[in-house]
Amino acid sequence: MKARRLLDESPDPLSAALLRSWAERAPEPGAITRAASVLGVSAAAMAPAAALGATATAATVSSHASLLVIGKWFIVGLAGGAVVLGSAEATRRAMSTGKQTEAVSAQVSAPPAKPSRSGLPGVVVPVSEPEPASSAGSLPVRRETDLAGAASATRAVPSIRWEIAALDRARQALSAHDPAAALRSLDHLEHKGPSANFDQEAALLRIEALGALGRHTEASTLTQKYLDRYPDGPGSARMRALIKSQTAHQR
Amino acid sequence: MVESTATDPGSPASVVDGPAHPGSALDRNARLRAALSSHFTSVWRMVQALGVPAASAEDVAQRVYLLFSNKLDQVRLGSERAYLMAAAVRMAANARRQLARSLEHPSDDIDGAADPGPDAEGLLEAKQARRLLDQVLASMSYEQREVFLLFELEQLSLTEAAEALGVPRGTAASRLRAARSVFQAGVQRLRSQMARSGGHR
Repeated sequence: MKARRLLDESPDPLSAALLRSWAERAPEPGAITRAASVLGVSAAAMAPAAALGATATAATVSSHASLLVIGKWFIVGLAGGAVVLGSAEATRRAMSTGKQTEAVSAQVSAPPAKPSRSGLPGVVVPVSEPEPASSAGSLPVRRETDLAGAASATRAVPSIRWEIAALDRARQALSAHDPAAALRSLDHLEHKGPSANFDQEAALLRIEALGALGRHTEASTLTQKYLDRYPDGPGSARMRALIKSQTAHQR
Repeated sequence: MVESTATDPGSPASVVDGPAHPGSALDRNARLRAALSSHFTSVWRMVQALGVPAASAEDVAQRVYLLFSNKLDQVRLGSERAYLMAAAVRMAANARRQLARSLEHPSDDIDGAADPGPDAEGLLEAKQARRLLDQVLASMSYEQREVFLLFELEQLSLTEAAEALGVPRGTAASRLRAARSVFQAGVQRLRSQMARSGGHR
């Protein structure tokens, strides 16, 4: 039997007004365009918009780490593009760096061996997927300043949801002014395997965490490596300019 | 993070066990664009109404779409909206936990709210109506709010709502009945509040 909705039952005017007000809610202008950019659906249109956002905010930043937080949002879009554009880019990076090995290709090409229902309509997820550690304190600390880290073809490659959760933990730790915990979460993510989807965002978070810990030399080295790896990206260009202006300002 | 649940959604209509639409990159992009233009606003307001702060709602909505993009080949054509709503519910729940922001015990009691109240039912300003709806929604439990949002406001069928929540249809129906009672009680309190403020006519 089809259930009837309140609005179908001629509710009183106040109820109707409240219910109808729902449809009037909308995100701020540009939200859909930004989401499209994150998904790589219209990447060409995304970069300038993100650059403008970063520029507007950049005027207020006062530290190197804060600067990189802004750049991070650039990278969210780029990482989203990587999710969609997928295997070609991941494979290209693996070949060019020599550090991301078969694990990446396996992630983008191999179907899950034993799918199970995820609870979402239309979705299957691999079973025995690793869960992000609930306590950052239990994670092994590994000081690794290389962007890609050591990849192992034998490691289980984490899923995108696992990666998002790990990055969320890192972000949350940074927001809570606990950069050490953020680093541990990023180390854990890296330890599980190279992140083909969010490696750029992970690198940005790591740089931010290092900066917050006062490990400026490592942060600078990693920043340079980041820029070396993505020299032509709109995010890199903007980051370079911001860092340059920040350096000049500090002098 | 979208968490798995052991509960079978119960409706095979939109559930597939393998790639349903391998499709070309062009098809994928067209499908993503269509899903964005048709449903992004719904996803955004869902996550916000489920406790994600406004400042984070766009970010969470983008994550819903990242997940959707990742699973696109496994989402049956025509089930995009149901999938996105389900993902939004789960992502919002996770974000809400992470942000330790609870609306299950709202601090804004409708009777004691500082809001001066609408001056008349027929003159409800849109913004005011949205705020009042938020107050009423906040008086629901989280589970009641989920099903109320999906069924009454986002117009999913009860079966789709149950599927999105990973509960049997009967459970969804039961929660919906309870949510409607809370809604109607909330509206009644608002009406009383209006009468006290002298604006009711």
